Amino acid sequence: MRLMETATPARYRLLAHTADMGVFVKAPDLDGLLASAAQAVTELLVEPGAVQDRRELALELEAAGTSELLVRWLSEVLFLFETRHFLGRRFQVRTAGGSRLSAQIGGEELDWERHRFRCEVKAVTRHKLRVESTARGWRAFFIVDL
Amino acid sequence: MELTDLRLKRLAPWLWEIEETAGMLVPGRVFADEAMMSTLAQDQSLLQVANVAHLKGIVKYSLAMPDIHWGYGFPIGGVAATDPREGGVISPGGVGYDINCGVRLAATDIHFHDVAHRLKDMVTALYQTIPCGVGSSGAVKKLSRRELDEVLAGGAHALVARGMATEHDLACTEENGRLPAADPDRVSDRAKDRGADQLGTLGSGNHFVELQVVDQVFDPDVARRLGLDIGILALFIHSGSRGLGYQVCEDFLQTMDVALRKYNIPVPDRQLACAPVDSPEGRGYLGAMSAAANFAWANRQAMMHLAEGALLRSLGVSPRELNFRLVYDVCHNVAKLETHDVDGQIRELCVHRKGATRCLPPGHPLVPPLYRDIGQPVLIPGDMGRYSFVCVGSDKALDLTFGSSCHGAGRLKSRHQATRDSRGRNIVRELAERGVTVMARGYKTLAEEMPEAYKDVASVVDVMHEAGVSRKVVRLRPVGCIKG
Repeated sequence: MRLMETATPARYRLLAHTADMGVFVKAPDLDGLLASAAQAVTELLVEPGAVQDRRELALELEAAGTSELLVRWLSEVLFLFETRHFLGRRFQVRTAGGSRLSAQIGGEELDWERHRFRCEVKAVTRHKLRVESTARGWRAFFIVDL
Repeated sequence: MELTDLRLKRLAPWLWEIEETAGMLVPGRVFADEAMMSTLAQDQSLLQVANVAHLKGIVKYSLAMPDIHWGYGFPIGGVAATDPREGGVISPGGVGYDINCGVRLAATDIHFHDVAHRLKDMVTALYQTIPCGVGSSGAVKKLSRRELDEVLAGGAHALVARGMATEHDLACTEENGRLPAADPDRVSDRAKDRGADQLGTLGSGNHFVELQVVDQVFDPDVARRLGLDIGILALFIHSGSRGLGYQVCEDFLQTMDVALRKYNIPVPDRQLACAPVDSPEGRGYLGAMSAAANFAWANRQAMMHLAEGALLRSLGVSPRELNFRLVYDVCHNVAKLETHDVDGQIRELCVHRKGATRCLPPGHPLVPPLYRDIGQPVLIPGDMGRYSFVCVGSDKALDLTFGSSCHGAGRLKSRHQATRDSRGRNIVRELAERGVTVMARGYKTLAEEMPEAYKDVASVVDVMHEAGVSRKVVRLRPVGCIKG
């Protein structure tokens, strides 16, 4: 297990989907992949840059396999935003066995004055969901429901 | 299966059949004109119609309404009925994340030309009164668990005691604003956490509150019955079950993923995960989904109550002068047990509508007595620059679509493309030049939701009118809009 902090800017691309949005993420390893995916989802919610690293939340998750772990993790990021209005700037992710995750998220609560927001993300779907390890690192594709 | 594997046959100017091929249990049927079909070939929505035809227990057809577009699992605009007595399944993907996303239309006694000079005041008051946008909350004091469970069980009924709903409102809401199958105990704590402070909030994306004016009447007698004479100021609300519904869907997609293996159900897309309606998983989802649907009805009811206050304050009129009243409320993301005549046999079916509106003909017992002789009102919002329609259910609806019609314009451009096309433009000013005052929390939402991002809803409505499913009554044009 290693500690991985996401590179800035996050290594992801947004892809057009008729009503929603596809997100393609790549990273050298699974920890970085999950961190970048969380950053991508956060930047769908609000304009990047304005979120500050003021306090830290920690969480642990378990799921059946890496693709399900990605969905659960991103769902948790959305859950924290909706129930605690918490936005992450720094995502430190540590995985074990491809099915367990512990994370520290540094960020702050939504500030209507400073955070220029974009759109609500309802959920991370499993439609065309893909998480895979390749010779050139890890990559994932997921579609979010907006 | 690939898109190129599909064999299409035209049955009528407005109806196409996807022939049954390997794995499909029934054919697909798509309501669309020729121009719509040519654009559908560019994405995967037709393939999704074919995928839905694989669902166990599906009856007659996998259907698509003319506002069909690419979703996940089911297409948006998809309708499928399954028979629980034949092992028929229920699928959260056939409802979507925003359970009971829907629209309601309220009319007033105010003629727009009498208050046009107060338009900005009205839009500002609505914007300040109804929380909208990312993370919106706090319209109604955060609900305790007991209060939330009352809403989940009672739907719009739970707001009567709070003075936020009337018996008329309940009578003019699909299912009277409450699905009796609701079981609050099936709704997870996470879902309840997400919904506790979101009652009376709009959300974001394509949700809106819109001031509209009746500008064209196709059927004067029915329009008068609905209180929608030409020039009347009306209000459309489009929203759903907010985070509570999204979480119920997510929870049960996980449950159904396991159920697929337990019941050995093959599906061509994980997002079609399902379980037999008559199974612990199926009953659990039906109970939780119905509770989320009830939350959505209460949510739209609460917003209507807030909107009435905003209009009274901004216009400085009395409640009697405004006479703000619900015309109807329809849901367009739901699965319900309904009774249908299938080739002469009366069967109880689980009807999934994902981006489709229930549409019942005159005389049907589920149409409220107030409207029973004219048919159920079908509310079809368009984009924020052009127009919306009110229709009523027609005779062929039950035969052709299990009593379903279209639900909106349907997207033409992806959000990406719309944002790209909006660069260098001022959408607020463009809309103002067309006579529409807009206020939005998210600057990006406006670009993504600009009028040309959507199909012309008139052509969508015309397909169902020509098919004899839903009949046009009035057209309304937007004059004011708030968005998240």
